[in-house]
Amino acid sequence: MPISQYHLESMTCSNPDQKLAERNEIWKIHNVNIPLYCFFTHILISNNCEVAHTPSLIGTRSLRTFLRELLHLLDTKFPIPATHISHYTFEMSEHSEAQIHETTPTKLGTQAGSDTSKKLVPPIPVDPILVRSSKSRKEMRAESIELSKTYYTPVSSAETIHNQLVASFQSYKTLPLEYRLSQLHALENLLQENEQAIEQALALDLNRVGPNAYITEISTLRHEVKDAIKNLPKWMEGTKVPTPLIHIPFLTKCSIVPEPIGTVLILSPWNYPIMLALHPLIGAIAAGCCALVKPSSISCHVSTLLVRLFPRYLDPSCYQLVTGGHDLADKLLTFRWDHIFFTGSVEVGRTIQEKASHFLCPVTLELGGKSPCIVDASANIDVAARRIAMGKWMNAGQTCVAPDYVIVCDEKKDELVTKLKECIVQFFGAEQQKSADFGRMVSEKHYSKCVDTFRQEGWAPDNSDKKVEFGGFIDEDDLYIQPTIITCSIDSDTRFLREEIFAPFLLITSVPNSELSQRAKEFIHARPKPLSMYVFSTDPAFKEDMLRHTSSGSLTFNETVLQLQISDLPFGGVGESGMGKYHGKNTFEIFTHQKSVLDKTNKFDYDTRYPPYTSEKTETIKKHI
Amino acid sequence: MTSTQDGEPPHAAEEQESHQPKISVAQPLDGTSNVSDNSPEKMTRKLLKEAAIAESSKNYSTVEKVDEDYAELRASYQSFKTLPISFRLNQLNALLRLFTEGEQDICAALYQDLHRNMPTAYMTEIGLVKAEITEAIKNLKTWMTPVGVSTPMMHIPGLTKSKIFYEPLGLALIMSPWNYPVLLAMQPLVGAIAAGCCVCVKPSTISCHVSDTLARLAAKYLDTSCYKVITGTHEISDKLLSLKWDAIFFTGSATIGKHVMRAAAEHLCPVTLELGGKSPVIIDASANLDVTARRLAMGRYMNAGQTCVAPDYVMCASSIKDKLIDKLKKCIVDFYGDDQQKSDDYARIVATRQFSRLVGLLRDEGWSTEQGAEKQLCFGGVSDEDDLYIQPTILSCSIDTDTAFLREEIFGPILPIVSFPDDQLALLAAQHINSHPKPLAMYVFSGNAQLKEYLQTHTSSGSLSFNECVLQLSIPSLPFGGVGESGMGSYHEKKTFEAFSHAKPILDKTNAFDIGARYPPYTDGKLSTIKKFL
Repeated sequence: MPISQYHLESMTCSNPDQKLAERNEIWKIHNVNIPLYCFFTHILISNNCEVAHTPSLIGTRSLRTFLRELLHLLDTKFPIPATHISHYTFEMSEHSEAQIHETTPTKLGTQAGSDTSKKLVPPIPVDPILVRSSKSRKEMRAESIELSKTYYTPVSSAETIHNQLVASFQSYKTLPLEYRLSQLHALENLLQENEQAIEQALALDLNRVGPNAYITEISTLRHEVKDAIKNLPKWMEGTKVPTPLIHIPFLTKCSIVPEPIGTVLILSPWNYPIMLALHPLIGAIAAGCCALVKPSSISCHVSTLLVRLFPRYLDPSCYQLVTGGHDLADKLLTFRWDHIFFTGSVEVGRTIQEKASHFLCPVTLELGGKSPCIVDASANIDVAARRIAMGKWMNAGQTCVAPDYVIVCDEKKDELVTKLKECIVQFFGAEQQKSADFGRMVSEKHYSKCVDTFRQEGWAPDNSDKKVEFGGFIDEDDLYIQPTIITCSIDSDTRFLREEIFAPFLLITSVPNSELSQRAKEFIHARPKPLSMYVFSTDPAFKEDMLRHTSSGSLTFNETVLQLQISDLPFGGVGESGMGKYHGKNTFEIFTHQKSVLDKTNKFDYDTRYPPYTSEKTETIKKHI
Repeated sequence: MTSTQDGEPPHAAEEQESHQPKISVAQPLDGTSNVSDNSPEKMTRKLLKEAAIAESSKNYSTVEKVDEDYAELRASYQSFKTLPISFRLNQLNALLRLFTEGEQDICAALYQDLHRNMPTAYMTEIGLVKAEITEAIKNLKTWMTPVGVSTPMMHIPGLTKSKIFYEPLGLALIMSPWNYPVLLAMQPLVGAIAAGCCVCVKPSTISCHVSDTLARLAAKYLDTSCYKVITGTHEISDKLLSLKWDAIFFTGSATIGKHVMRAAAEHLCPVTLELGGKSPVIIDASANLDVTARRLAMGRYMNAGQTCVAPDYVMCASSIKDKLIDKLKKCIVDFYGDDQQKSDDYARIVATRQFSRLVGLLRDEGWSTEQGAEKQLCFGGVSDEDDLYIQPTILSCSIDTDTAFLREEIFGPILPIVSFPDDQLALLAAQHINSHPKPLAMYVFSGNAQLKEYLQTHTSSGSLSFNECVLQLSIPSLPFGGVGESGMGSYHEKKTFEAFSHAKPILDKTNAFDIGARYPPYTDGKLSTIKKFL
């Protein structure tokens, strides 16, 4: 039974058929008891109901109709397991602002263990293919984004949320190990119990179906949460460090004690919307911080799902997730945070650091950049092609560490291109649009930007300067760009060589093998430092040369993208590709202040150290320092 | 930098560079020979200082010169000259020689700038820098060695290698203040050289003798194509900050720190900010008052209070307040004699502007020697403008007293003391600290383990010392740095090397065993294989 019907039965309202448009009348209704989804808790905090402000939904409908339509849309658009339903009082006061209060504090669902009997309605399966057949992906996305605005956190309530988090932090609630572990377990449950819902949301946002979602996002998160739970007691311990002789070791103790940095802000992007939002959060929880997460509003299915699941699992006084557009992000950046963790574009990263400087707030910036891929004559082209193809066309090229362009030696160019073409067909079939493993452009805006460049610059199969070797087919309604291989000279004037591509276009240029090292280094040095660099070679001298004479966030030989799976390898950029590193213990450390603690003995208080400094004292000092 | 200071309260720690001095002197000074503290009838310290700054301004760099220098640094860096360990060791040894051979010159400059005599200079600056260099030379090879990390099963460990490789960040800018002009310019430089960066050091113009000496010695001992010391006022600082650096290391005030970070954002340049703040002292009734008073007095009055980690104010148990004040008074006399102005171990305020601020506050806020006054001057309060001298001073008031000495970082030889009821000390002190910006350092004098534990976990500060102050800096294994408004990033020894390095993760993957399950199309069979491994 759809949730909407089930719950509308219990709706009581003094005048439910009152026209919504007659705003003044509406505000007079008191104690409208209506069950709503848990995701309204953020509205609860703000004491602000923005539901009625969504323009496309208000019209002249009655409250009853409005709610029915709303709930129906919610069901179809943003399905979540029905265990998460709770009851709320929907209260509208005379003084304009509507208020919603939770009336049944008993949390259903998984916090009290997964009791299956409480699952009122199974999650509604949504087949992305079905969605597409009835409406084009483009229309569907546009509609979803519009609708997801219903759940936007009102900008006016941002400050309240921030203050609440700060107050919770100052109550020392997050200090004990047990508390942090309980929250990490809750996060683990969130991932575990909602895997299907997460996969659905990812399918709707990026056409990332089943296994793809697992490989790229869920597996990493699960691994990281487990890792954090296992190691947290060790991480939280202080480190003893040696005490110099003059400070009397044995009696004096020197240690480095980790303490939480405070209340932090996590801003995440749309390309890996679950992982990049929750991964930093794991570190923040482990470190004992209070955190506010704001995922991108573009990956609206995921962000809406998260905003609904969050309060069901995590302690809302310490961890909040809000959704909203730029205005909300801007507002959040006007507050004093103790750390800001941002994943996104270079331009926005710059703004974030600039805004953080007002509060001397440290930042971690995970940005992007053009990650080069260098293939020399000694490379195993078979393996290289497979690994490049996988890294490039995963998520339709919308991956910050994806290989952005290839510089290959002339001798191997044709072989590489041929092999890459084979890989595309092997991976995604002859008709890639039908493959369940190939992603879509996230939004019309992003789609148009990529396609426009491609079109305007005149890339074509018969254009030898800007040649399309494979692909080039696009479908606007489906936000689809075919896996595409393009080739040009390294000196060509094209946006694909200047800006990060972030789409399934793989640009290949070639130079003679004898010049490869020199030309590649020159090319890389002339541009901002990339986030990743990939070198395919079996020549140790060439590899060593690339290692020492180029700079990049990470360097990977004979592999792409999967360096992210190795949690002992810190992940982060350098220069314009970002600052700060995470994964594994590094994530914990980002949100931790390592406090130097000296515990000095009162015994042996040498007189030498105090003035007046006689010449004998001076001699002693010189000897010991 | 001027713009950021508009409307800001005067702040001692700021690199408030004086504009062109108004006083011109007929006879130019020639270095060390003119230390004339004993001839105040001719030249007072104040006039000497102003004249010296004017003289020093002749060496200031120009905007055009900065561009040239920057281009040279960039070119040197890109020639990979600084990559080999031999080059870095060579330069570190040269730096060590600079300090061994140039010790006399540096000490003389410190004496002129801050009236810091040799033992103090050695203990607080030169000794520490030398230790840092020696340590870096000894460990550089280890630091530079890539660190192997474990490779997960699915990547075939044994054939695949994962490691972390340290590469230099690139061009580094070090901006240092006047209070420990040698230490705070050179200690980061050691790490930057060790990391393989090319470096521009911009010392403060206020400590002009030291700045000029460092510039001269650096040019003589170090490779000038890779390491430069540039002096100049706001104009030069602004010019420097407009350039693209790969790392900026700044020591100074929070106000300028913000400005530096904002400028760095333009180029997404990582910053290390070593700022200041009001470092609190908490003394409970169980403290050993003899030791406490000695260590506190040393920390506060060292360099006439112009120390970023100096104890700034004291919150003590009311039962011991009077006793503490008596002991502090005795320490001052023990350390610096009855007439502290005559002590060779007692420093001077660096320049007129900083002097006027402190004396102005003491004068205008109505501190009185009368017993029981709300703003009680317990000791000191004497000053001599010509000599830029302020006597070690002790103030007593309540935590609610409206005074700049409880609001702003003091950065002078003045120690305000407030008290709380014995049984509420920890709670009230923690509350007070938590409602203010996080301090750079915090000092707790107590024999009560419970109180120590409480304060350690319930307050946040850059560092925390029990029964000691300031000297935590001399322990190389303890990283030094602030948190919140007291700064970001920490350094000392390997940490300094790391501050100027990029820890680049390297994955060297085998071509053997290219497991098919990882590639699309992802069938259910593949997924279950993947789930087993991930």
